[in-house]
Amino acid sequence: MKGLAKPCAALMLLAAAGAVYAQPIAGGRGDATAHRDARAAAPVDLTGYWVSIITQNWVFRMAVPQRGQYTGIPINARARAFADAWTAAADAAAGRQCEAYGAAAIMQVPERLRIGWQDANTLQVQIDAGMQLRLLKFTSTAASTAVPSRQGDSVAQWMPHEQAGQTAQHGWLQVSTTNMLPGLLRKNGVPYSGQARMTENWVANTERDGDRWLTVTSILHDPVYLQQPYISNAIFEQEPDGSRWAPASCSLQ
Amino acid sequence: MKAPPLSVAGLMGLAMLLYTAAAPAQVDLSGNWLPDDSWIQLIPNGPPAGDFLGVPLNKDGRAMAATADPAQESQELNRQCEPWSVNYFIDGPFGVVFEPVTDPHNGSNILAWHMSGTSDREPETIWLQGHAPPPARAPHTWAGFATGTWQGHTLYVSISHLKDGWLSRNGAPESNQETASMFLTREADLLTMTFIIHDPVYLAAPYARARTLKLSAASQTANITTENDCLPAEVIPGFSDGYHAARYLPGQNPTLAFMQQNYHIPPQVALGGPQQMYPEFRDQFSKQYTVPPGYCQVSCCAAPGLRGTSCPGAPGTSQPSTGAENDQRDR
Repeated sequence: MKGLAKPCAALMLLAAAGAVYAQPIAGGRGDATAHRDARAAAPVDLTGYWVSIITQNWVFRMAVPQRGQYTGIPINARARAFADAWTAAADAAAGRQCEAYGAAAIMQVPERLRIGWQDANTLQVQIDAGMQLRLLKFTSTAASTAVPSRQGDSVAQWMPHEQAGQTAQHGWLQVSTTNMLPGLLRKNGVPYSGQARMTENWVANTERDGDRWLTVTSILHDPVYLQQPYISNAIFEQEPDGSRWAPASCSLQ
Repeated sequence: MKAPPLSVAGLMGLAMLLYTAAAPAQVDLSGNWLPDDSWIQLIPNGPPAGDFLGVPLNKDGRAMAATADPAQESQELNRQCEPWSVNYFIDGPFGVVFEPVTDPHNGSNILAWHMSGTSDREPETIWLQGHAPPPARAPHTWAGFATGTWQGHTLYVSISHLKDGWLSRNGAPESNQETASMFLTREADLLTMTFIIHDPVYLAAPYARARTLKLSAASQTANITTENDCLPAEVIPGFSDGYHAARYLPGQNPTLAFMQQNYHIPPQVALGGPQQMYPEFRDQFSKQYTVPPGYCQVSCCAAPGLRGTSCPGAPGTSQPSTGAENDQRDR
């Protein structure tokens, strides 16, 4: 009996410790990893080739919608006035063909993504449609003083699901983007302003048959043109290789 | 020498260790979740007639969609009280209520999650304890049988044993061979549902969609009726004789012209197909598409809180506002 007292006590202590850590995580928020090697800390692998699956809002994404067709975007009167007055010909003549390929809209464009690591703390997202490049940086920075750009400044953090004593095996990517140039949410002139800011959640899921899907949920705030946050989802399916990668220039058509 | 038995305390400690090691940490899904995104399929009574764009229907699925007339389904006696299938959690305009089903002997052990919200779709129970699905020949129901596994913050749900019904409100079919995967991910007060349908009878490829809901303190969405309140009427005066099937003959469905008339989408394109889901279809489609002239007249400005056709800046109309801003990039 005496020989078992210490192991039993140790077991009880371990059980108590486990009970403390294995608690439900309401809301799902995990620990940010801003200061570690983001590549090494990645709880999920997003690298590789992904193709847009256009099953929602098809008529707005695969085609240029009619003037006045603003369904689904909580625009205000100022945005509507802008869109009603906008013409593709004027934008094209001014060399603004890429306005519909900015960070606030690019994930809704039919496209392929090539995701890889530029360095240990920068995830590089190449987009064949419009030949765009997004850099998702795992560094915590203050408001950027850099010149605004089409893709803005994106600060990324992993949202791992951690349990005591275990390496995080699940999680998602959260990206905050600011400092964007004004652009278009749709190719019929629906605008977003340079004051817009966006938060995205990139969640990868795997079915039992091995199919991998990436859902990117975007929440866009724009005090100039939106009545409320604009939430949209884009779904991508992973492809085995880049054989269908097809870079194409921006177009307003 | 015989080893002494473990003490009661020791056994309890061992049990606690095994329990906490085995029990996956769960995310709390409970609450009333209302839609906070908006897509054309959610316009009143949407999606539009004849709009199967992006639905990877195969030849049989397209044939069924082309002859469907869901507005007339009440003509069929056995369909009058038919609820929407589990797909409607992602297609329907209403939200979802999640409630935990807890172990009566251990209130902190969640056995299942119960999804409900409105009575025009069947509630869904997602079993978490590793239940095996029923045998293949077990009866199919509107909600089917659902099991869930936590993958970090995401609940991966597998659904089978569904009855045949409507994949969409405007008549895309679903068979009783359909299975579905649903991924539920909560981040703060947002819940994203990714739904992937597999149907070997009517779909040529997996059909994936997603929507985002927001946690709300408001009371739940409208209950239209309770399922038990629905009593089929054999004859709806002026509407049916209760005996005719609600289908058009091939080539005679007038609703298929809607997409051509309002969006310049040819009917054969509007009937869907797997190739439409991919970016390369855009080049092919652009050769036969022209932007509709003039100004939008149909479902132009539906958005959260702005349902209907009224647009901001010109209440009650869909005409362009006068005195529009010039094209200066003041934005």
